[in-house]
Amino acid sequence: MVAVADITAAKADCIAKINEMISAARELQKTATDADRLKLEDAIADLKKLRDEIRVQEYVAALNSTAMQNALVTIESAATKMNTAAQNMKTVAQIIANLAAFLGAAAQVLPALTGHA
Amino acid sequence: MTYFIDSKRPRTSVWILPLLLGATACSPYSFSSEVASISNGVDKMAESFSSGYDGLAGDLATTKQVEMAAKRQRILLAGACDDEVDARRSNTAVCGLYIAGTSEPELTSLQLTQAQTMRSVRVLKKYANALAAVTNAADRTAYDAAVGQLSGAVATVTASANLAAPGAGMIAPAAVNVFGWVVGTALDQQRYDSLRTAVNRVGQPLPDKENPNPRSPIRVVTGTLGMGLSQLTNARIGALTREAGILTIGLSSRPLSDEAYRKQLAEAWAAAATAEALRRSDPQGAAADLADAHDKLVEAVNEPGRSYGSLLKAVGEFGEKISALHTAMTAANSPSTTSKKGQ
Repeated sequence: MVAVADITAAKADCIAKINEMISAARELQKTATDADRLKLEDAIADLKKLRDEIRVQEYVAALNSTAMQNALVTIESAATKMNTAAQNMKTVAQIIANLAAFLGAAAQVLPALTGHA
Repeated sequence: MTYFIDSKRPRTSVWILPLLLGATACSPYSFSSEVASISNGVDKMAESFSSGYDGLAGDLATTKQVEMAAKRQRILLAGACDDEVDARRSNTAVCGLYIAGTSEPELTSLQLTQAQTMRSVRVLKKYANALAAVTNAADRTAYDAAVGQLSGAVATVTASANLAAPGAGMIAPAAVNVFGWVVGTALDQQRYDSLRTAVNRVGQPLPDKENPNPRSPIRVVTGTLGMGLSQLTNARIGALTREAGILTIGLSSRPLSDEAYRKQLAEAWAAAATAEALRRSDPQGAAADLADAHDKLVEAVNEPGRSYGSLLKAVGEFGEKISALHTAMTAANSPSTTSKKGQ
């Protein structure tokens, strides 16, 4: 049975080989004709594309992993609870400010109502 | 016993109340500045992702144009341009131009991760912003100001009651201040508790039977996103170096006027300089530093009496790395043909 570690090692070997080939192509470019330099540039692009594909597989697997999904759920839940606590103080402050404004207005009409204007 | 409390200065005049009541609350605001820095850093990380994906699309398009100009072969319009918009269809095809004999343009595997990546980034950003919200000292200042206003209003309203019950005009505002303080302290404590619970849940691994040695949620997310940032950086470097490579070949392969030569040389130089700036950035290091800063925040919140110099240091390191990455990713966003990059 193939272990995950074997796959990871095989990918690393593959990437190392690709990097060697890119380096070799860059060396060849130094003495090649312009037409060949362009062809080597295309070859290097293909090799880099292959390298990116191998790396992206790893990233996609990490993005889709259960660990990542569970971590995101935990983080989102923590954020929601903190936002609620943060909002509570704002809400209470707003209620108090509204009450103060109401009493401020009441204080202006109270003297008239009690005959102390 | 007479309490003399100035209703216009609720904070300074009730300072003795905590001592009288024997209660002290842990302040969430002690970490306000560090948490704000972490939150700003996460915002920069999110922008780096957006700029990275946008920049990659731009770099690939520019590189393709440079290649077409260098090869002077037959150019075709992709079949995707004639497709009807259909949500069910595979979304990899791209409406664009391509060289005859090569494959039609399509999104790269990395570009296809954009939607899912940005969803994950949004969750991390929401969390960082919530940390900032719950430690925002301005909210407590606003709360105190509201209590002060209420105390003043009560003083005015109860002034007339002094005639019937002397002292009522002073006692009522004082009662408001005490009430305001008690409620404010409880709200601070609620904020602190939610902060402590949140950072501990997010910062500490929860082993179970299936996985006895898991990473903490923040390590899982930053590790994955660090990988994504690294992929984006490498993909951009790949496109930019190809662009620079083709442009340099063009310098000697065909006759150019002095002006055209200088322009093409500047474009190649700029592409290489942009690639170098990206190469110098440390995306995975920046993401790991965020997790480190979060670990230090957990320690500081769990032991508020202890000096949290290590938190400051960790936040500083994260800030530096993410700023460098952000600068490299965003500065490289314009097409190289405008000769703006890296200059």
